[in-house]
Amino acid sequence: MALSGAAALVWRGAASLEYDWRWARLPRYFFHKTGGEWRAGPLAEGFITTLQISAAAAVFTVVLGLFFAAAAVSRTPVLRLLSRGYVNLMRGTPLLVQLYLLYFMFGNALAFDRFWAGALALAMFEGAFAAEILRAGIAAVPSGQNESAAALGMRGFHRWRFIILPQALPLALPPLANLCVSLIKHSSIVTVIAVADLTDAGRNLISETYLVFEIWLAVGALYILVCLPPARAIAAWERRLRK
Amino acid sequence: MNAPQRWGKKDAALCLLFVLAAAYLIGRAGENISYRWDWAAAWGYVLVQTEEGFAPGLLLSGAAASLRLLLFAGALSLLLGGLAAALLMSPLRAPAVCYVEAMRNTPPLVFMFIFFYFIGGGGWFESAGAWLVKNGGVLGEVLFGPANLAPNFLGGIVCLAVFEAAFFAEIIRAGILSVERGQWEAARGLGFSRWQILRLVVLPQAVKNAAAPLAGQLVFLVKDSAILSVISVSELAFSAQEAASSSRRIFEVWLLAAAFYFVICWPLLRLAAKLEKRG
Repeated sequence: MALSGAAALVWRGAASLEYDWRWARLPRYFFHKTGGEWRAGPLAEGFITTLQISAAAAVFTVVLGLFFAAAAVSRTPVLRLLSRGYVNLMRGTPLLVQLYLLYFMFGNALAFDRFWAGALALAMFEGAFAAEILRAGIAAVPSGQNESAAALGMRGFHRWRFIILPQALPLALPPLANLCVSLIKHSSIVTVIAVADLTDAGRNLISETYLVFEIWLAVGALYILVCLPPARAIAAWERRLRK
Repeated sequence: MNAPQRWGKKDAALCLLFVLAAAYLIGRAGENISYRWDWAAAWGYVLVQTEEGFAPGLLLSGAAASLRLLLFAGALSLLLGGLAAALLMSPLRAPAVCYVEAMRNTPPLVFMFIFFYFIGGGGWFESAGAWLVKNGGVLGEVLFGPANLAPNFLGGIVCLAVFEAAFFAEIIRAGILSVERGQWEAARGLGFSRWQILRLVVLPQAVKNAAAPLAGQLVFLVKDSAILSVISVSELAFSAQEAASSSRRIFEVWLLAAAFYFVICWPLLRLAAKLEKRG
């Protein structure tokens, strides 16, 4: 019932505009043939930018996550405080506001272009979640492991490298992979600082072509297409790990 | 891992390092564009001094709008999420799975654009807003904000609720599934009807299990509500944009906006942590 209600809403929304569907015009914005050669259209280019910015942000996310997770369990109170403050600040403010702050305040001074400002803001936001995931993984390693390694004379870095991380990472991998998938989804927000990602390409195309519904539906479907299969695979992987 | 609580020389050195790094960054921030900090002007967007006293400025009324969004969209998405969770566990689960997976794998920004073009086109929110202006009076203004912004605001509530409800549905479903099968069987053995089992045995336990993630999801709701500013729903981020572009006090205004969001989210984060510890 709820569904038919939603369908009625959508139908009425589209019908009241007397919308003229022109799906046939859509494919050329993905790929088009110019001079006998296939070229990527704006949507394909935007999609590639989306993947690039997500990949760059994913690397930073893991690095930041590792640093703040290590800081959270550090023996130095200042580092623990820093980690807690960072995680709370990032979790308590919207990504959009963080992005504006980073881009407006430091974009100019530190010579970030839009792409890197976007990637860094994304990474800082997701890094807080990565830190929480990794901290939980580290906390699950029995403290006896660390102590016996210390008793055997291993130094801090070696204990991390050979004892703690090899046991913590397998536990943290599925949720970390999930985080990276959701990064693709969250990356669409960089369109507000005019990074030419998939959402931005869609927005620009709509203002040129007025194919509002076709393009938005295609963009939404593309995001679902890249996010859903990995998310499902990770869920299956987690179920298998739990058994 | 055990971590002692003592402060040492290393801490003092690190503190100094962080303060220096922060000072350097903030110093650099305004350098190239010769930014002049002016907090006094920025506070004018929080409270406006009028002849009678103080009135809420753009940022404060924006924060109030964000709180209203949290209240209404939170309640509505809890309701819709409960419905979707019921569907997910019924024989009719295919459409519910489609809905939940579509929401969970679409960026909120893209969903909001689609929602506004499709459903906003029907004129539903304009007529609801017009009705509110005519019949709402003072109460309408307290609950839904200024009348001229009501259509967009109502649309924003529904849009956010439809999006977040998918996440609520998954949490509620997991909460119900976390109640052991033995509980169902024992209750059935005692002669409870299906509805009685759900209401008296399963739901009280499911609510307890789902409370912490639900509170956590409310934080996401607040944060995602900031994205509504892109489609001109007048809330905190939208007001901040207005204030920043009209005053050119970009840094101060956005820092204040971040602080307001944090003030809204922090109690919810604490609540989620507390519920998790209890559970």
